Amino acid sequence: MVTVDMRSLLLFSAFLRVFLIVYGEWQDKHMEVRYTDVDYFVFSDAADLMALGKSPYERTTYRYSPLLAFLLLPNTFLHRSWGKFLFSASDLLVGVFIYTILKKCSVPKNICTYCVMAWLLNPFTFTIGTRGNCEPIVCAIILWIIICLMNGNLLQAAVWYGLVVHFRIYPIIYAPTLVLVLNHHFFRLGQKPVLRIWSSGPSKKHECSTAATELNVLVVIKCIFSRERIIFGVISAAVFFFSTGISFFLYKWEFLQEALLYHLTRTDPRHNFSIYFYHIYLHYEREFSVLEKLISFLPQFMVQLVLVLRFARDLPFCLFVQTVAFVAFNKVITAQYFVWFFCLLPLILPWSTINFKWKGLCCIFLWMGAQTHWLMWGYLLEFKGKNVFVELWMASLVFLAANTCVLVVMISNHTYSPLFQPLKQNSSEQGLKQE
Amino acid sequence: MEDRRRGRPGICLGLGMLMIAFASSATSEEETPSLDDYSTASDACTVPCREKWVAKAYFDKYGSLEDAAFEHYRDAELTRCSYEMQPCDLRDVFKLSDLDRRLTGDGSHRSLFTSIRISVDEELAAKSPFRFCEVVLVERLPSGVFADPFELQHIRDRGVYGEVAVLGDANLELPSFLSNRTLVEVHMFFSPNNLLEQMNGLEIKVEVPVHARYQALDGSGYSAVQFGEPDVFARCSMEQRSSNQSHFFVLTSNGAAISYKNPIVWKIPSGIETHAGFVSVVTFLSASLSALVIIVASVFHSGIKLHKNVKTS
Repeated sequence: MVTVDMRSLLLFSAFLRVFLIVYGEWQDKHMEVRYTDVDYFVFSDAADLMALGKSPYERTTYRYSPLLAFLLLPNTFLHRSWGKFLFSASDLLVGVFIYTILKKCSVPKNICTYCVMAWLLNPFTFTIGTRGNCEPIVCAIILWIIICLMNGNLLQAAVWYGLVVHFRIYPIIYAPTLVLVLNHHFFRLGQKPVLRIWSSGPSKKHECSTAATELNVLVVIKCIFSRERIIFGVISAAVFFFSTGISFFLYKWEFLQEALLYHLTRTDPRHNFSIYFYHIYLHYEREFSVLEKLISFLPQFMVQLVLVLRFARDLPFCLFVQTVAFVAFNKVITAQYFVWFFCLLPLILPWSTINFKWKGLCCIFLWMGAQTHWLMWGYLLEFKGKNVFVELWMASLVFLAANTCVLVVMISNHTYSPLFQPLKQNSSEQGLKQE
Repeated sequence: MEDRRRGRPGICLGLGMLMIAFASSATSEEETPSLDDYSTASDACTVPCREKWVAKAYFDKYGSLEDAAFEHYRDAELTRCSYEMQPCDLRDVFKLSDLDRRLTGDGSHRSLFTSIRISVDEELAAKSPFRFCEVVLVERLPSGVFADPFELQHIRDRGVYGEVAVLGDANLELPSFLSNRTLVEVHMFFSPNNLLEQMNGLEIKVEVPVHARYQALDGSGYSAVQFGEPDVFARCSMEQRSSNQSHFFVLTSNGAAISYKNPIVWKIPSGIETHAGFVSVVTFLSASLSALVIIVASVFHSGIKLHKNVKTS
């Protein structure tokens, strides 16, 4: 087996990204189809407006936090490619964070490196950053939150979580998982948590409720509303509302509408990977009833609920399956959303029993094939002007089936392994239990 | 955004008064104001001869783009600018000798290509004091087609256009039935002196990228969108790119209308209404079934499966 040094891998990945950014500049100037993502022009235009002291929301279709335009201010002062370097640096940071998380769980070095390769050498991810998509920043923050929790640094995790929800909204789906994982028996403020070890077997269930039933109601309440959960909730909410408040103070309703409400109420009639797009288009001329909205929200909600309740303690795995399911059932799906779970995939691979030579490859080909099939119909509609709405919608159904199939294979071949092991109880608590 | 369903918010007071006065008349009259209505509106407004953007004053007054209103604005108000020209009438110097246009490309993203040929009267041009001129091409895009102002701005930055502006509905994402029309104004600079040196006059080519909005549902599966004629104006000045001391006029073709060689019709795919029931039922059944499969797989996940490298304690 060929061994790859982590440092060489990072160096190669960095060169690859720099090369792609430079190549992208060339392609943009010389070819009809631009390498740069159209959203990057939106971010850059918003940053230009901010540099002029104007609102970034004067740029139509800028639907992000003003923080993003602020981060891209050097695009105006320094170079137009600054943002691409920033996003690609975040992309490399994700690789470093994957390695750090796996090492903390005592995963062997070579397996860590292969898992990092699954991120850094994934053509989908390295093109996302170099084309100027901001998602690698979000991925890096999510992984950093996991690292903070693994280090027992609750306050920092809460601050970053509040900020990332302000920055990109969708990580709000992780809130119940993060709250559940902060179980008093596994995570305490000022105490380093005991992490799972890759070579150890799956631990026995040690749920808060089972321990608490032996005691009284007060202990149960204390367990549910533990100090750690309250601190995490209050701090992350405070950071979220503070960032949102500052943005609202600066850009008023424009910010609220474009960066927040738009994402919460978004229903796009234009074609995208979602199974709902054609249904939305066919009914766009009239208002959807409350019942219709509930019915379309129910499958997504139920899946999230079950996944959180079932897998919350295996934090990286739960975040991964939650994200895949959230994207698969969303009313709008674009290719950039896939990066949201690509960054979590390497964290669960060491705990998977999938035979990568057969079942793993089959899953990859199934997922890629369903996506390619959709893209073919999308191309005929958008670039050839053929009426293939029905075919495209059916391709979306096939893509949902592929997502479901891959998700079920991942779940059924996963070794459930809670991230945090039970903490050693101190003497006073043991005494209380004996009473 | 100016929503068509909410009416035209920027319409002049005169037109508003007139509309109220005729409120009791037939609905069709309310939806299509007569030219008299527009005359009343224009009387209350100033003639925009010195404005940089020809169509801006129109949108300030009328709010949204309608052919009848714009043609009235052009014929009754913009032509007044020509009468201000003394002592030399530039309309006699420059004539529109040819205008050809076509739609290039496939699919939802295409280019509206317009070629304008301007001929010049050498004798009159020699007497003219104007040294700097620009052709102003106004494309009134049909409903269901839009131009991206930022895309055009990037093209302008590359020096393809002199100046460019997109006026009208700025929301690029709405389907045609929820959006208003868009107007593109392109300015191309030229020097009358250089024009004299060219035997066949000056040929100006303008390519405007246009994009299809999602169309209203249609039984045939396609909506036919037809492009109208562009409006061509010119402005000349003694100083470079100056609105002061400049003269604005409508470029005419010696009284004879330019014949459009190819009427442009764009067939854009549209959703088919009869699919609605079937698509909704299958969509929700698929979502429910997929959700059920994931829930069952999660609930029945044993949780004690051991990895081949996992040691039991």
